[in-house]
Amino acid sequence: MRTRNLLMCSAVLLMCWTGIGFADEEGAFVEGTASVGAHYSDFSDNPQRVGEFVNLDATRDLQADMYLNLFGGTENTLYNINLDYRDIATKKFEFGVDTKSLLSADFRYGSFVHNLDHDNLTNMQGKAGGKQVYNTDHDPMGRYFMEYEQFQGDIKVDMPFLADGQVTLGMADQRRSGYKQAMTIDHCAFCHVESNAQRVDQQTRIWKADVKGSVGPVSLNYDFAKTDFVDRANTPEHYWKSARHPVNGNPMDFPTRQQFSDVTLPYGQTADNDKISHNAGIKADLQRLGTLKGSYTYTNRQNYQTGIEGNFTAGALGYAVKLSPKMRLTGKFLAYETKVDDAFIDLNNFRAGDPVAGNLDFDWNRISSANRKVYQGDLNLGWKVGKGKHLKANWRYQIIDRPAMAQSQTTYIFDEGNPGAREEVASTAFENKTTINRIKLRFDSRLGLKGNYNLTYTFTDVDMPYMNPTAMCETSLDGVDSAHGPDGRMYYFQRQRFGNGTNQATQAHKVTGRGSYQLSARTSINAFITWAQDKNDEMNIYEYSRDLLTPGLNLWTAPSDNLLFTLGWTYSKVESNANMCVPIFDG
Amino acid sequence: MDRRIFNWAFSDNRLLLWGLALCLILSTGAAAQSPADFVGTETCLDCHDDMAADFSRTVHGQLGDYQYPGLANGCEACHGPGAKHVDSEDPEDILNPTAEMGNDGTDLCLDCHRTGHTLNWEMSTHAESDVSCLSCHKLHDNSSSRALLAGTEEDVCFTCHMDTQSKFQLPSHHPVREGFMTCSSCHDTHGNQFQEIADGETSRDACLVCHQQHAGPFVFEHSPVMEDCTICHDVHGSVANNLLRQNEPFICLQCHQPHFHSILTGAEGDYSTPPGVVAQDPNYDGLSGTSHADSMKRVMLTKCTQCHQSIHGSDLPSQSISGQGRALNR
Repeated sequence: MRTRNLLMCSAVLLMCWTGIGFADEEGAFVEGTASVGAHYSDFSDNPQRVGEFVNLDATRDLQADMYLNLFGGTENTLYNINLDYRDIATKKFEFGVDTKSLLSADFRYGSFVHNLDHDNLTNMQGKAGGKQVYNTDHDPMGRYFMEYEQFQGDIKVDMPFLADGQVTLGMADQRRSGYKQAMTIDHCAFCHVESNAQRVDQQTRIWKADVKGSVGPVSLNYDFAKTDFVDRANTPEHYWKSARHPVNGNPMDFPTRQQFSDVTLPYGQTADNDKISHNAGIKADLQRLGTLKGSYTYTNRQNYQTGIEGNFTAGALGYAVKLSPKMRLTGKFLAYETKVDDAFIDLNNFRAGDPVAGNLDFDWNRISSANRKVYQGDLNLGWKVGKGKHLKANWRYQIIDRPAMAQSQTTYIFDEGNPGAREEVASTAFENKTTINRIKLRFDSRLGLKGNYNLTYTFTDVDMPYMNPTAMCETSLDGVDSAHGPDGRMYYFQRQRFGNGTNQATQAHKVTGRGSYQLSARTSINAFITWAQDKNDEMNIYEYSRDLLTPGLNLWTAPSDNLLFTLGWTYSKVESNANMCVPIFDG
Repeated sequence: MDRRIFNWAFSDNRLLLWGLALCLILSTGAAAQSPADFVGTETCLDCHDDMAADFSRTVHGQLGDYQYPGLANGCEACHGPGAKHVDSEDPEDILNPTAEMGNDGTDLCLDCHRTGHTLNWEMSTHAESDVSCLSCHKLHDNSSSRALLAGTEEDVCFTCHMDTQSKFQLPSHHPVREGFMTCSSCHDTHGNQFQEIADGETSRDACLVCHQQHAGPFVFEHSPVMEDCTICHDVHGSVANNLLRQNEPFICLQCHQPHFHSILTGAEGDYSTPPGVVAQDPNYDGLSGTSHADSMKRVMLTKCTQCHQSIHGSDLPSQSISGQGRALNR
């Protein structure tokens, strides 16, 4: 921290020196504002909630703060300096320089603290029959927070021989460091939830290169980015105790029903990863015939821990044309495919060694939910219906084709009439093809000379929206005990379920309105409203609905150039209905 | 046509050359204006001296003569050739883009700002909604270093997006009102081919710029994480913690059923580990608690992520074999 602050002070001094140096040149100017002040804050009860982004280490004492903004230059150079210092961990500064637009550079640094919750787990205790739940917080007084830091720099070099020609090289360095609460659970050895402080030391480094330029009516753009993410903190470890019967605590054969037991293993692991992306675009200005645009994107992301890779490939076409001085048409088409490697999950056999049930194999092949092919088309018509009056209509059609939207857990039914027979009743992947139709209408109008308003209505119709299929509600047992095997023992398999669950709508209506009126030269009033109604009446067990209403009113008045009063009121109501499907007790 | 001539003319490399030549010809045609019609910025500022200082301090006033070949520079880049206006001093003889061109003269801006951020402008949601360049940018009398915005980024965006502004006042929010993020941290206001997001291809990628720890790709996935972060999170602000659309467990129970233990009636009173267990394993020493009738409901229906903490995905299998390792407990 001390080194970083020394670096920041040095950078600020360097910037100010740069500004002073420029000031000696002919035609030089410098303007800006500087303010110095102090603030005091104190929090109680849940400071991490009401002061989510306040450095709590800097409360209860008077803290000096400083704000500096300088803008200056010479005939050939412009520069700007911004400094916003609130406390040792909450600060940002920016420096930009532009030399006749041939070479420009921007550097930005900022840091702030994000306070995180500490769950004391007090609800995690209880006893029902022999089943018992315990909790242990190994860091009961711990305060959890994340300090975010980001340095970002861009250098742009113009290519004078090319219209809008420019090469940009950029990098960003993000740090997330601090402590968070890490929890994990032993189960079937009683439920014992344990909590520890987990050190976080994550860094994301992004390198970017961008080339753009125009030749005649054709404009080109290519950008490349590479992102590297690492977490340098040690992964926490936990001792998973010897599994025991959850009711009487006896060892029995429970370890053979667990993937691991009586062993120390890592948990809460963060996966280091990298991403490479290429994006190329071309646009042709066809004059009165409109504008035609195409692009191609390819990205690759890799998880370093497992070697799993994902690729994204996309192509897009767009066309915009003025059909008449009052009418404009835009058409867009986008297609992309995401493909993530499959992963084979090799598990121990359930009750291995048991002569009756020892061959149950729960291995499965994980097909990624990210995999999909998406096709999307947009048509947009803008029409100037009168002086200051515009009507816009948009239609979007989208198809999302997934080989596996979500994967169901394997479920078994034991056939009591045929001892030893087990039937696997759920496949591991559910295909889903979502089709979306969206219509959007918007009307903009002036309200005399001093006001304006707009109204937008959006209707979305979705066939087979994203959902968790067969996630809830178990099938009728019909006299068949799915939990007890033919040997009469409890198997704790997931019972077969049939109910789909989602919070995604099949039909959604949304109306937004905004109006603004200038009451006087220095006073204006703005009002807005959002009303939305979502429902999904195509699920097989219940109807999901969500209603939202958010009106608001803002009053702005500026008695003088340096004084502004703002008064705002917002009301928000969200009401949703969903089904809670409680399973029956099987033990 | 002689086949050799055809082959010569349309071989792979020459096709590219033909294309470039066509572009150059079109470029020359587009820029055809008489140099005599232009008087230069200095002449303009002789009369409009009130704008002289401000203009020279903007990026537009700093452009070199070598930039934007074929296009005028300075005041006349936007206002057109000034010779006639200089002679007559009649405002009618000079172009006023905001008054005389559609959409506040946005097409004029696009003459120079053709690519990079504006490559997708014509297809953007803002363009489709008749938002013009001057809706957000102010060209004269603006010493703002940030892209000549007409105010701070939030001032500009919240002029129209007031409902979003109100959401940033909710208890859980991204640090926009604190000044550590801006709208353009996530949104590409000039449009891109995907979802108007600043970085990446899907809305999820926009989130991963800062939340790379959730990127994966993981062995054990939570499928909505791979689908769209906004299924669970209301990213502009929410009453529930962690930007959740609803508090736990209700957000979870929309797609999942609770454990069957939640219907169990709890025993009343204090309890400790079963007899004999402590003796067998010292790790159980001291495990005890207090139970009452609602205990199991409190355990199972308070916060799912107390146990399923790796809710964004994990490479580590969870403990239960019959759960196929996918419980996201590790």
